[in-house]
Amino acid sequence: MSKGHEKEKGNLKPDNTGQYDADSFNRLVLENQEKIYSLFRRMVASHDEADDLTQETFIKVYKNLSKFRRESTPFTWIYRIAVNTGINYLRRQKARQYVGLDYANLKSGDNVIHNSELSAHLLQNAIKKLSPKQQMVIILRSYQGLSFKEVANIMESTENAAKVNFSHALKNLKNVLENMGVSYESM
Amino acid sequence: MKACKDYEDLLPLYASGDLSSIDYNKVKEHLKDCKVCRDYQLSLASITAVMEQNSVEIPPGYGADLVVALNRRLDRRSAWQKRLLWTIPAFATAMAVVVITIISLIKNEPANNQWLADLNREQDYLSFTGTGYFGEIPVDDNISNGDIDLSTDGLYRDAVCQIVENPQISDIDSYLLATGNLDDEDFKKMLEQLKYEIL
Repeated sequence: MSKGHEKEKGNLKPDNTGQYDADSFNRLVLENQEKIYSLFRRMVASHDEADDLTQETFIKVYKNLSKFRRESTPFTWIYRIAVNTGINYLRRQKARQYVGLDYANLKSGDNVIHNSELSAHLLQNAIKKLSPKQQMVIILRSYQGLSFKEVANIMESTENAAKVNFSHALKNLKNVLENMGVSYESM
Repeated sequence: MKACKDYEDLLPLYASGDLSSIDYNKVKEHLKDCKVCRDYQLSLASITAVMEQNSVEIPPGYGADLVVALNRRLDRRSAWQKRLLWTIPAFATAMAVVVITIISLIKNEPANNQWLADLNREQDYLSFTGTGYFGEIPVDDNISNGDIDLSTDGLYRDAVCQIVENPQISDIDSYLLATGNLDDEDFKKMLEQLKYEIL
């Protein structure tokens, strides 16, 4: 097995009894925490929420370590758990009919974008208006920079379906921004 | 602003650089001639550019803090599971002891009252219901509590007062012999007296 392939598979190996020791788990957390935290940080408004979701994801990873069958890489498997955790969270939020304060304020008038920081903030609020799955595909592809093949593996769909989903998500995002009165030239 | 129908789904992927070379060239050619699609494409490109440039700031030392927090949660979970692991068998054992004790008490009841069983064998006028003894007293005897004169002995008077009518069981000739105030020896005396007086 090549070194690159070994690296891709990760260091997640069970011991002789089929159990994973604490060191394996801690290493897994350290190797993937930045990607998982940033995924959630783009999705929610605060560090605390992102941290809670990150912890929830890794607790699920720990509970299910014995079920990991190596049919995918640990990276894809952990991302899949994170995405499902995130989608469930977004669905719960949608069910509460949560309207963010920022969005409520933005609806009251035209928005002139003066700097990139504000644009990013505005964009994050607009993304929250998409369906949970569309939010995820946008975050995974555009923010996290994953390939459509990786997005498809994580979301358990085909590459083509991931592309179609992304295409619709981006069009919807554009419509949401227009409804918010955003002018693209200034972005 | 709406793009041409044939290009509407291709433009987002063009903006993100995810089209095949054939589709890419097709869109590129179309954009040269279509201002509406060109503006549409520029809007999408602005959005993707902001997303690609924007990065998340990871708090310093977050990875180590996360590992500590996770291990603390998992330790608590493990301790709780261990407690549960001991609690369930302990509770089951306690319940088993209680059940066995109750069964043994019920089973021993006739044995403790063997004298009563012996008495009952001769005159089938008592039956154990689990809560007390029912005396089936023939209606011909036409008795009530007041008819039984056991006043010669204060102890028996107390006992007779506890022969109460139980209308839920049957007619007036059914009486519950309550034993609450009598020990076994006194109850035996009372029954012998009743046998003598009534039957």
